[in-house]
Amino acid sequence: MISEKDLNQAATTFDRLSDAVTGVIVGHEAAVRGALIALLCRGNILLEGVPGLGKTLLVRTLAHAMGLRYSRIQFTPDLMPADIVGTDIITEEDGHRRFSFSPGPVFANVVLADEINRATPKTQSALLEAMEERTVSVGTHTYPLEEPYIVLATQNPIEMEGTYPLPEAQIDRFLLKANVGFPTLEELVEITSRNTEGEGIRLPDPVAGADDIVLARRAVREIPIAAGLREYVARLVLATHPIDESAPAMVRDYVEYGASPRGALAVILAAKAHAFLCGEPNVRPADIEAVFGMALGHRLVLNFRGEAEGIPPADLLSDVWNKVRAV
Amino acid sequence: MSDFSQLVAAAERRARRMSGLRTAGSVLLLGEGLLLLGVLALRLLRIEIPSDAWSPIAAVACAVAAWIGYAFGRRRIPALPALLLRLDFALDLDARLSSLHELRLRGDRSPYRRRLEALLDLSAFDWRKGIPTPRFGVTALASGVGCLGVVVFLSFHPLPPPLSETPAVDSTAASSRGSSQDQTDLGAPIESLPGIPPTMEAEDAIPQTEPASDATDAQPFRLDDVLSELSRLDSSDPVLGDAPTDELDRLLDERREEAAALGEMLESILERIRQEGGGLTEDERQSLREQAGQMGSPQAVEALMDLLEENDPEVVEDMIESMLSTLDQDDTPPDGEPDTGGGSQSMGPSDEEGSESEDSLTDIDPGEPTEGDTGEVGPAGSESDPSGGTDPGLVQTDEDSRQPYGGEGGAPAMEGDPDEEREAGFIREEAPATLGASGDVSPFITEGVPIEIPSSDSAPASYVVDYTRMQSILRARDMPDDAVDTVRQYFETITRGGS
Repeated sequence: MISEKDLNQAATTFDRLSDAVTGVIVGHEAAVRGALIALLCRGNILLEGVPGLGKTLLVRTLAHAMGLRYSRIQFTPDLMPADIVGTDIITEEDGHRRFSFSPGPVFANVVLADEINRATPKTQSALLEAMEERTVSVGTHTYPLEEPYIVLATQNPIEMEGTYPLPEAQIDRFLLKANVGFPTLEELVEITSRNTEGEGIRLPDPVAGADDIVLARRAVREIPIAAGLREYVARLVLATHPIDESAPAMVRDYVEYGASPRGALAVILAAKAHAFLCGEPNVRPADIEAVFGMALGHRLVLNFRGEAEGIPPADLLSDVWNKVRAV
Repeated sequence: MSDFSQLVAAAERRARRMSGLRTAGSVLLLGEGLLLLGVLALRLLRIEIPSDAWSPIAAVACAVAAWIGYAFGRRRIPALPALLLRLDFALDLDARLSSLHELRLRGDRSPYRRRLEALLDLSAFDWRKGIPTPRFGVTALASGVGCLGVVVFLSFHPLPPPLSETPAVDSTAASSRGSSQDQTDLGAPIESLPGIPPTMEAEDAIPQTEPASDATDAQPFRLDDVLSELSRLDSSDPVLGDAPTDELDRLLDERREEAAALGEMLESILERIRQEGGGLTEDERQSLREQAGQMGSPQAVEALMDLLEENDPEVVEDMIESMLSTLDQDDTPPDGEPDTGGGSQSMGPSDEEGSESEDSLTDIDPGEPTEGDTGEVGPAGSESDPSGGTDPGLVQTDEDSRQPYGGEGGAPAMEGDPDEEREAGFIREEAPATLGASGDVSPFITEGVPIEIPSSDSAPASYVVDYTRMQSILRARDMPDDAVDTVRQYFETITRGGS
């Protein structure tokens, strides 16, 4: 059980971390908050946005602020799984040749999978084990990944030619999916000011270590959530299924498959992390509402009609949220 | 127990009460609503329930069901997490109550619990607002009570039966009771109807309007007063129905037979006394006792008992003569009245003879002519003509002011009058103000009562009485509705029975 002191320390650490990131990243509060939540929940996050919005900068800033090992993988169509997870290579030592494992870029604390949808599904799938089990299997060996570990992936929603949409199995591994929107006028002015004057962008100094992250994760998991709210989340998730009687009309019309149980876990965990970041001692309905879209939006599989009409998952989830009542 | 525990316990108790209230309201509304619908349906269908206490019992049953519903509702334990979450939402507590409850259940001693307890100032809010009194429960309860009130009100304020929809048995029974009452004991309340044989009593028990008897109990009245009032009415807009009077006919036949047997017995006794002298012999006393046992009228029985107790031969002779004269007077039809026989056997006292009512030996309604004794009446004296049952209370002595009117029995007399050729349909005629000493018995019934005579020769002869006016007059004298109905049924029976 976490102590009062540890709780205070964890809260202070993440206050500093949040300040460090937002000191570099202009705007994108939802994306920054999502990244921190994913970090606190031992999850991964998919950032979706057009190029040039600062997605990569966000990840780099976060890694620098935490003082963790950072790696970046630029996904391309010809990227192979071994390029990610590593491979056995023949080495010669004392006149003897033998295979030795050369770790790939996935062996880091913070992994940026940039434009993940440009790689083939085979290569994308190479990340599955690392994202979920925090291990990498090569040949007959399984290598554990160092904690804290987080994969932050980005994808470009508009440049779809030559891309490979993430398979459902993989996209379900992402705890959250945050949209990185275009900055506002004020934000854009601030961005230009920071990047075109003086020495340009200066990444923050580390304000937290791996132990701080692990401690904070423990604190997050101990945040209480009322049984009624847990049931509420379950009903919300069930309502995303078109076959469920509580599903709203839009879900019935446009959704092929709803969120998985992993989605319910994601909502509750993310809500806890959100409450932690807000300094609340318990999960509030507002916390659930704040993470509901990010946690479930990418888990809805639209049917043909939904895809054809381009129904935004956010609209579907808004419908679900409005229909399902907590009490 | 901590404040939080007390709050949770109190909230649970209040939630139980509210749940019980909701359930009780639903049950009461459902029960009383169904009861009210049933009562309304019964009233619309004119179905009477032969018990005085059915509506209070049904209402109490619904109330008991509501109480059971309340107990059942209280037992439906609300899920405490859901209840606390409801409180959280209602009081805008950010789910702190339910979260703290969760931590307490787990025995968690984490910093979060301390923080929650510090944040939750239980005295700073009124948790009862989170469990408001359910509107539905209160509304349903109030509606149920309202339905209960309506049911009770309806049970004690029955609608008068429609003029054209009187059950045949009721009409006959009520008419029989009325006719025998007015001949024997006009001073008694109408509900205490002597002289009705057991069979009639049993039939009377069938569908009688219960509240009517209650009202009559509470406010007795005298039928002779009613009839005297009716005698002063003018005829207008009468409407006659077709209420069958078979039961009345049978009853009246029995009464006539009893009277005839008694008359023969008294005449033989009188003849013996005159020839041999002395008082009543033991055989005669025995015969008279047996006859008294068969008489339906208490007054007749009382007169016979007085006779049996008398030992003075002269007094006995006088008493027999008096009784015979009464019987003769009742048996003799008025002069010139075609409807003779049973139809003219008025045994009851008239208004003028009120003091003689106690001397009446029978309560036979003589207004029922048979085919045999209505021969001179013709078709008018049909066997089912109850109008011949003249109410002696209506007999007037002014013969000159009287026309030979009557009920159906009197109609042929009108047909026989060539001056009274009528067109098809109905014409309105005034009833005679007075009647002679003899003639059709129908005028005795309709004396002063607004009647209407069918003008078509082919149509069945009938007279109708203006019940509207009759009822208005009776009600103006604070007569209960059921008594008015009884009078109306009486006239219905005697004026159209057998048609």
